[in-house]
Amino acid sequence: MRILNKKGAEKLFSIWWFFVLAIVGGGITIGVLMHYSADIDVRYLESDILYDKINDCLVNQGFLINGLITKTVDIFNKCNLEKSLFEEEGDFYFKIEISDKDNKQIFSNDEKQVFTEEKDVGLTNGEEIDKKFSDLDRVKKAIKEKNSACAPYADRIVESSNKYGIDSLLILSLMMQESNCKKDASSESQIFGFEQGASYGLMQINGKNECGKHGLDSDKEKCKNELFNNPELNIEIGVKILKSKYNDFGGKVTEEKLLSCEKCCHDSNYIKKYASYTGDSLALRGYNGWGCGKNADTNFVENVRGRYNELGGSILTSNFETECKIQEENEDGEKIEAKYFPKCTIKEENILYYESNEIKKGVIKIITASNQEGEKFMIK
Amino acid sequence: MEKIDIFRLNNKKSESLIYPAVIFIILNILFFSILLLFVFKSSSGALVYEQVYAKQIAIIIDRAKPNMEISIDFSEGIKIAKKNKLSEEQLKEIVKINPEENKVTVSLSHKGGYSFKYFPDYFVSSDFKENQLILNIKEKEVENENSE
Repeated sequence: MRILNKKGAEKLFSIWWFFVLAIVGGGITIGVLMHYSADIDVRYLESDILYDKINDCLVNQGFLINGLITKTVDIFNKCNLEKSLFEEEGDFYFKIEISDKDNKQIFSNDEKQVFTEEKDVGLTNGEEIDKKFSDLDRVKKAIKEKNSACAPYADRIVESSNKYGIDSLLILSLMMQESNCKKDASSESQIFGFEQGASYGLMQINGKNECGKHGLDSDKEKCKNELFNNPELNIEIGVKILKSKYNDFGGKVTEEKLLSCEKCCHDSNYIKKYASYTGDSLALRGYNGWGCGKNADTNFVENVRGRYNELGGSILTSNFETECKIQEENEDGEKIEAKYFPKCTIKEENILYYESNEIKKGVIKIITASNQEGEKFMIK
Repeated sequence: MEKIDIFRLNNKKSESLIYPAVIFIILNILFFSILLLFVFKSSSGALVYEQVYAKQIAIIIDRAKPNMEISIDFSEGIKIAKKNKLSEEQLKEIVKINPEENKVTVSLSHKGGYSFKYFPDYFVSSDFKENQLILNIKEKEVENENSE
């Protein structure tokens, strides 16, 4: 049998062989060149970093910095941002909107309208952002991630949060710090009983101070029973007490006031520390008491704050990967597309802010975008 | 008994059959080796690393806070620059940071480079310690005061 003859050998080097090699070689070369000369897209990363930068410098522990709403603060200067890259070159963009609790806008740094096309949000059918990320979702998410024992109380936390205007995650953090979400938690011991100020239940309500109030029975045992077995009431009382502590010492505490208070700590180091608290921190300190003795938790505020941050702080929404379109008015008053930023970050966060010497609740929305393209250059 | 030499082609006919096949195989191996070499060269070329380093440095500066000192492993970049025959003096200049334009420029060959911008208004200086690129981040105002 003949395997190959002269003709067969010639077939190996036929025109088709060269054709196949050319196709394979050309395809691989073009593919490789395209792959390695393509830009690595970091625009979304940049817009995310820009968001963090702006948020960190404008919001401090849930409080909006003073002077932003009244526009006495230069955001570029305050946040160390190079103005020319934003205003002249247009490589980066940010828009800050602040609304009060009734959703009325009280501040915007830019009148341009930003239209967003959300992609792959992973949530339900086109509902409003605030509905998608309701308070209950935040609390449930935090509980799922950190402490499932708190799960039965999520609804009540949110109800109390809405009723008293206190961040639900702060209530959850406080509850976790006080009882680790155990409804029968008690600080009572042989030497520290009801009369000495022992605390009971989820929010560790002080029996001696609170029994006979808030609908609790004045009988010691009955009151303790209610505090253990009625967790809804326990949470309600705890949040009510926390709310009342916002106004302790007129919303601000001075070293002199602490020194003049009989039950308060008189150690100069702790007095300085306690006097530095404001807002949420002041209320938390008041909730735990102003003492600094053996049984006092002098780091209570920091511990609750730590838990609060772990639970996601006051982040209301998660970040969206979106396409942003920004419009502005031209000379004829017509709205035109100002710039197309293919990648942007939008986040909302609950905040507290001062207005007319009052602490108010609001929401800050920050939109950040990057459209920077790198620059390849050749030396001739 | 006749001795058989397996390496010896017995007649002209078999010679004409085996040589084209061997040449065919060698040419194929050569072709795919060249392709592989090209892919490898492309993936470790200056073009790719210039972009990666420029963006990496700019993003690190974006994330940084004033008074930070940041160390970045630059050994791969230096290796490529040396392969591209950059002199010792030029090696010190492979990363340039221009605080006036907020721009990071990385150039690992004589042919060109890649620039990328960072958005914080910081004064950033860079220096090499062995294979490490050291970035010093300072607030611009502080730097101006010092220079005055």
